[in-house]
Amino acid sequence: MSRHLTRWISLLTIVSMAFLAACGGGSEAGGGGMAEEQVLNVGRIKSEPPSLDPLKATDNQSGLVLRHVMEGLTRMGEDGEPKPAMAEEWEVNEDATKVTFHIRENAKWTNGDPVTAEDFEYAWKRVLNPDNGADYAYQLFYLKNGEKFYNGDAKAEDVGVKAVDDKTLEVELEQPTPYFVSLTSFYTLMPVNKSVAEKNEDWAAEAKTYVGNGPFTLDTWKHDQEIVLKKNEDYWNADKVKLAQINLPFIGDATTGYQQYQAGKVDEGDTTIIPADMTKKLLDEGEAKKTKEPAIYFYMFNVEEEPFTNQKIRKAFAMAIDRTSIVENVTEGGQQPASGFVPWGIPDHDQDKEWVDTRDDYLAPKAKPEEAKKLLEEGMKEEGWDKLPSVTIDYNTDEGHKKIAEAIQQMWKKNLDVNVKLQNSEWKVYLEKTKSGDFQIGRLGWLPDYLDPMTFMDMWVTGGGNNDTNYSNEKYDELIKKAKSTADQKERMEAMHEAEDLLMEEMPIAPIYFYTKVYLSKDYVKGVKYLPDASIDYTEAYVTEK
Amino acid sequence: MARYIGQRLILLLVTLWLISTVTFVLMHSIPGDPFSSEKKLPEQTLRALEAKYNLDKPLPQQYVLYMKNLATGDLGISIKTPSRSVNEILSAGFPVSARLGLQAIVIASFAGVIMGMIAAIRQNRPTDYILMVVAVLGLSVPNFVLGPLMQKYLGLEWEIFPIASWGDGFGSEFQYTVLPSIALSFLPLALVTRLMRSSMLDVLGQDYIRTARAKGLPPLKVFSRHTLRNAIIPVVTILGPITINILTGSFVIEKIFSIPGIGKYFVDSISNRDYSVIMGVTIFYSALLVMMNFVVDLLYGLIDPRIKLGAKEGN
Amino acid sequence: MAIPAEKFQRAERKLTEAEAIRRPSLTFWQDVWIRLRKNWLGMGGLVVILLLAFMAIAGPWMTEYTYYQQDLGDGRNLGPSSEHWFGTDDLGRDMFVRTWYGARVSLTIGVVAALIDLVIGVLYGGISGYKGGRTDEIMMRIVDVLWGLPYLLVVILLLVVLGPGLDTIIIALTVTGWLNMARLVRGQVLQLKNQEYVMAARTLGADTKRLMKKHLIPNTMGPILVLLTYTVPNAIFAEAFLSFLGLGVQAPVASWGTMIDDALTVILTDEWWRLFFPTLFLSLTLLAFNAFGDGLRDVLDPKMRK
Repeated sequence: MSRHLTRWISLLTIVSMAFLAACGGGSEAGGGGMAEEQVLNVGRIKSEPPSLDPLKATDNQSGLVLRHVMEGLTRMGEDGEPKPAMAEEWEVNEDATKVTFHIRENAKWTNGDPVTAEDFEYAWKRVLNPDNGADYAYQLFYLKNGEKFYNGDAKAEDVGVKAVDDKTLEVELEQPTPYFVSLTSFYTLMPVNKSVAEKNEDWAAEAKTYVGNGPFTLDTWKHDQEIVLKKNEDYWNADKVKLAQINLPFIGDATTGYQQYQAGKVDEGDTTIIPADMTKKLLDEGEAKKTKEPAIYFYMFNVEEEPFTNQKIRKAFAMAIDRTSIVENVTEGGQQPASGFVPWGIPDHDQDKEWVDTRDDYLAPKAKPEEAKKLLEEGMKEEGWDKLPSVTIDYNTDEGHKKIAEAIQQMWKKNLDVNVKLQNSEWKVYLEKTKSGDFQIGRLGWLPDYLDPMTFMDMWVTGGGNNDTNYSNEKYDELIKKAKSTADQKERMEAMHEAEDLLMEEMPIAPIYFYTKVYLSKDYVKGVKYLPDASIDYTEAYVTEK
Repeated sequence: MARYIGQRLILLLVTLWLISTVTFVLMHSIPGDPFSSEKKLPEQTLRALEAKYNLDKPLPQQYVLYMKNLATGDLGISIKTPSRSVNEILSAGFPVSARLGLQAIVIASFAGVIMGMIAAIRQNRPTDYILMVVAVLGLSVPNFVLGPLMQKYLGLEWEIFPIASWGDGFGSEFQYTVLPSIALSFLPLALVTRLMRSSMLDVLGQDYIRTARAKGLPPLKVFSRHTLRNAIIPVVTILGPITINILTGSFVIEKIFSIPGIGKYFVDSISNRDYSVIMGVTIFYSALLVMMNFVVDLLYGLIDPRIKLGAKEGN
Repeated sequence: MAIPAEKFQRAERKLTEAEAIRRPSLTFWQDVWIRLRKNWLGMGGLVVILLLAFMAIAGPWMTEYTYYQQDLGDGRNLGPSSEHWFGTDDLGRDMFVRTWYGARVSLTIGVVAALIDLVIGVLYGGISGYKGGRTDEIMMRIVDVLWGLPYLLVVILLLVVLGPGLDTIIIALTVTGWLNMARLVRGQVLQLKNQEYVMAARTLGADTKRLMKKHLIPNTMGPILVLLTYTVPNAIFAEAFLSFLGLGVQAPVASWGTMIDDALTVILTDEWWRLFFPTLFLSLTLLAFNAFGDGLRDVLDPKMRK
């Protein structure tokens, strides 16, 4: 999988998504009583988190730590809804352009300072200050004048966030954004202790200068080695926190991680401790479990490179992939053959169902060789080709991507009688190639920014920053524009369904599978929350006697 | 001699300057930059980030800036982990890598020299063949296979040593260093064994050894004064750069055994296009390397007084 | 009894015949060959090398399978059987064919890279050590510079400039591959050039070329051969590393290096054959090269001719 940095922001309600639940997920059931030593060893960090400053953090691993040592105005619940956290309550005005947050009285920093509204104002403006070079500044472009301030067209005072008093934060938005409240659980929007950060710019670099406000404190940070979190007794909800300590050793090699898990040195973890080749075995034996991850793996066709200038040929190639065989025999992590572009786990906000259940299946799970072959022949006739131009699949170096490419190469040989070549590149070289259009077929995994189909659909508009296929369709652009300009969920969802119909007819991309999140957890680990965005929360976790 | 050393030190600086300059040019000419990712950052963010790290300036200007800072010993801030400076990364990680490396080198050189000598003395006898097979295994079983195998048996199943991780930092319990040191020592051990055997055989056939024996010199003296001295030159030559490679950590071993050394930065910095770290580790490594080669050249003179470096051409 | 003088015939003294060598004259290589034949270790090594080379050529033809043909489904991860002699891999491909197909890549790369390293390294190191003084100083500092450069950067640049392919791999392997050899030869020559027999030869009027060819290089042969046998596996693993950068042979062709790389997790599962066979043949190759090298060393060693 890509070393993709995701940013997780939840939208509205989602039906709980944990499936194959069994033990581990939130249930209080299970063997012995509470263990005397409430220490959890977590195998989810592969290497040094780049930064624990909300301003600079951009990746999952930093995010995991930040979610525990810091806390935003809200926290994401297991249902995907924002729950009160630093903010005790909030009011949203009618057209969703103004939100007032009331920060709880007993909210404290680990250095004893009270958490104030000013800390939030300071932190957000700090992210938006262009001099600070925050990668995720755009997460705050929702604020009134946020983007203008960032571009130097407005002053800091004009930005729509204001501490009315110590405990009241007023937020003004650029346009109606009904889901803004759920965005406040994301780490870029977490507060920063103003007096600490102003005194020491590098306050977040070491454990001893770190000041947080989350359920745990950053007790130890041995660089390149491990992070240790301890229970924060001053946390407003400290009664709910049962773990005294969380150890987060950095484990760079999954084979090592799995042996550490077997030896009992690690109690819980994700692919950091699950070697790819063992996933199936562990799932089959019931040792590992999985949850849906709302993300998609797909191949993209460069529509400006022959032969993929032709719609029928693109469709033929997409149809000739046996997705079932790929998830069952190649990736083997319980993934779902992709039936369309928007993955599972993404809600349809109009019908209160999952998006995948309210749309047609555009692609059959198995290959359709006859139809595909016919389409290919038609396409070639349209273009007047006797021989198909040579085709190469590009992928970035990774054993998983290689296996998928090798399997698809064989499927196209078998089902279409087409010989394609494979070419791998180092990650950044690969990015350069795909972003500059120097490819025919490339792979990509896409994770959402927030739980709404839009985070996927707006990718393919003409000239979109991430539209590497060069696909361009006026009708599609219009539909996306329509969905973006309205706050009416029915209208939005309908426009996006229509856009997906079009996308899957034009087929500039071939969806392959929807992701799963596979994890290992010892029986004595309880109360871990697996959130709908595939992130994790240990706030209420505990261990029972072994 | 003093003059030779002086000249050599100047050349050493020139060499380092050349390496850093070429590296600077190389890293800016390969595709990709520190901020490229599959989700493209907005244009204005990219510009702000580039400005922050001076990457918006023309290359020659960046180069001059870097060299100025380098002259003051400042290697800059890592772009990937913005809260850490390159100096910090090196000073935290090097002692760890160096400790492992040192242990590995000690194992490799002592065991290698002894095994090589035994093989030479027992040439074409079973002992010799067994040692050859051992050495070949050392060369052909890569440490990314050997490491996990040792973890599985010595760590997980027989619980003799910890599977991985690094105790409490530098000066940590010795037990954590055992498996990675052994894994690290395998390849140089094999090479030293083979080299030592071969050059021992060369030396044993020499007339001066026979003369020394004929004169009635005790075998131990023949060995220490003549055989070892003459046979060890190729080992010293090869061991020099290998030592530096091992002291600066191994990407594979550090990953497998979760060791907080600097080895992984040699690969990761390039994958991330983390310019300041690339420059930092390269200069650090090269400085050690050229120093080591200098030391090796000086050692030649000590081991074999007939070798005169810096003498006029063609003697 | 007296024998009449006329019974005797005068033997003609032909100068040319007196000088003639009765034994058929042997070139250097004929001589090496004759003596190598008597060295069972060296011969054993040579025979194994030839066998491996033969299998690399013929092996892929010995079964009905191809190196790319997959059997997704029940055909995956099968142990060795009469059907699949070396078992199958995780995409159901026959490991026997893949192993020998991989041998082509790995053996070619190993041998070619080693030879190039040998030629460049010996010439460069020989000249540097022999000339000594300032020339040596400068030549060795160039080696230092090449050594100090981050290899990955060099390779990525090579890849961008030359594009992927077998020739690029070999260039990438030899850019720095010869440095060890050069330093080793230089160190040996520094030591040897002051030895009595070299001085004697020089006094007798031997020129540089002859000194190098007849005295210095042959007496360094031992360490050179050792380093050479070390270069072969180094190149084979470096190729696997280069395929990480997209420089190696392209999938679905696999070299021994990439096969070993990919099969790593079988240490935790039961599919030992995926790791075992490539490692076995790699080890066998090295063993054979080492044995051959040792034999050759004995044969070439001037001191052993006594």
